[in-house]
Amino acid sequence: MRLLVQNVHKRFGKLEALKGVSLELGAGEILGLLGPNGAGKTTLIKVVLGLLLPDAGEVVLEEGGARRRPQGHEFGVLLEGSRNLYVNLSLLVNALYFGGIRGLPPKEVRPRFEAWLERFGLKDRLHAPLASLSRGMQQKAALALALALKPRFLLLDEPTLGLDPVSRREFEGILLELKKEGWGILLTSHDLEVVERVSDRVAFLHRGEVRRQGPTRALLRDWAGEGYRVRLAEPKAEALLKALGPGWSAEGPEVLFFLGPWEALREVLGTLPVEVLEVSRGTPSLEALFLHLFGEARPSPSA
Amino acid sequence: MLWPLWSEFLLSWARTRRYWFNTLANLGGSLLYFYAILLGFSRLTPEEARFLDPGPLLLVFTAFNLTLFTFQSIAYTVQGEAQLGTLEHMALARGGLLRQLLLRALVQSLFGVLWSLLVLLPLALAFGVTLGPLARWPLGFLPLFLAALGFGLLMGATALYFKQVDEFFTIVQFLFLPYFFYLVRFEPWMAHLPFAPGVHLLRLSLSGAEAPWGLLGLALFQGLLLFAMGLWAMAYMYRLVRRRGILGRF
Repeated sequence: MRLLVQNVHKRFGKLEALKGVSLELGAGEILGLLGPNGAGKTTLIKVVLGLLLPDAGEVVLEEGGARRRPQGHEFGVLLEGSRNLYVNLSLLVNALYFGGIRGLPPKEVRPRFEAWLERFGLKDRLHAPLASLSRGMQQKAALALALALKPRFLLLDEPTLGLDPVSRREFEGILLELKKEGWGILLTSHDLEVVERVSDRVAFLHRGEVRRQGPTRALLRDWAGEGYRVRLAEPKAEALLKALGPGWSAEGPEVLFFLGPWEALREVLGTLPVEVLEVSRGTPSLEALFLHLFGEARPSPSA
Repeated sequence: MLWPLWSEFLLSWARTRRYWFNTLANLGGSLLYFYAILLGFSRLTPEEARFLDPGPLLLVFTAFNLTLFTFQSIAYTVQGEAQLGTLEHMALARGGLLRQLLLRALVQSLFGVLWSLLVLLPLALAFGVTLGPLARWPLGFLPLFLAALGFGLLMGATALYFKQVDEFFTIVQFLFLPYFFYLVRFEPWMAHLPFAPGVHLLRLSLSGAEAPWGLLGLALFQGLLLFAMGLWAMAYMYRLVRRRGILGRF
């Protein structure tokens, strides 16, 4: 079973939000959809869900040789922000309601929802109103519901938003488990470390176009010879980033990574106000590649 | 179909419990409303009250409340869900947004009937008013409910696009004036007014008078026409907002 996005175009007035986007997501696969703010990621997810009609192109579900337009209720969804549940109602009512409107009886939804809540450490909040939970807990509850609906495909728009580092690790583990069970997962996140660790493939979306896509490891390997790891004598990587141009990222307090030509690096090395201990060639992280492709220097989440 | 409908019952019940104070206030409002009508009746002279039978009239006013409620419910659901940010999730229902909105309107109407009767029946008993509608009164109510649902869908379509439509309702509520025309008599020119044939039919059904087939046909035609127009408008607007990307936007 495969979900195919074929040559999708979408325009809002003068803004061309999607320019012929084509993607593919198979069962048992995690596809990381990356791009800067306004790249078109959420627009694409809404097109897949049928919440937005494309100007051209189509979304197709291919199963056993048959092709058809997928229905919205076939997807588990976590939309960006806190727009996934009724904030003044209990977690249980939310689960039963949103499960019910998708045609799922309570006896199916409730045990699965409770199991996921237990996993997220929220079992004792089953009857609490969503509004009484912290932002991160609300995100977990919404995630638990998306998982409890047991859809064929899971579309997660910024799922790690508001999660603490422990929960994020837990979430990574869950994604990998779901993949093994045969779920197809589309994941958009600015948490590039998570995406790098769990995605089988990534697609870089920029200004409505897929700039690059392919298997995560292969994509990073393609750039293996193009990057340099710079080890500093002092933990000033974060502070230096602000002054450095595009292509730079921090991999730790004392390690910078530069993705670009040697000549450009050599010019910068001479001007650094910190002693450089070592420069070596290296495979970039997804974040380094992201910064290189989109030309913006941002602090690394790991720094 | 079963579980999406059950979900709406669950949601309405959960909200009734969660906002119990508002539910109580609603009951209090209904109590005052019907009490005022009954008090008015008790002040009429026998000559004035000759053409007014309090039982059917109370039921007609209950139907009026329900009609007005149904008329607004879809638009307010769209507006409220967009405000909460859950409209897009509702659109992921099995069967789609339109069907789910209709189910919610149906359930909310049933809750409306329940609350009204909860107040009306004890009051009628206390004032010694006999309600006793004809067994076939639902036939009189059906065209009116269809018309209200049709109008509800038309307003819902407006809310899908404009989202906040409260003030628009202030104007549109004048459409309900014909509802009261039947109190004098039903004139042929009223046939073209929304709700008037349906209300007259309902009044006849409730008071035990024979309803002419022509009137039933006319009311049913009007109800079906409005319902079809509402469905079309809603489908058209749902497509438009998804094309423009403003479905979930408030």
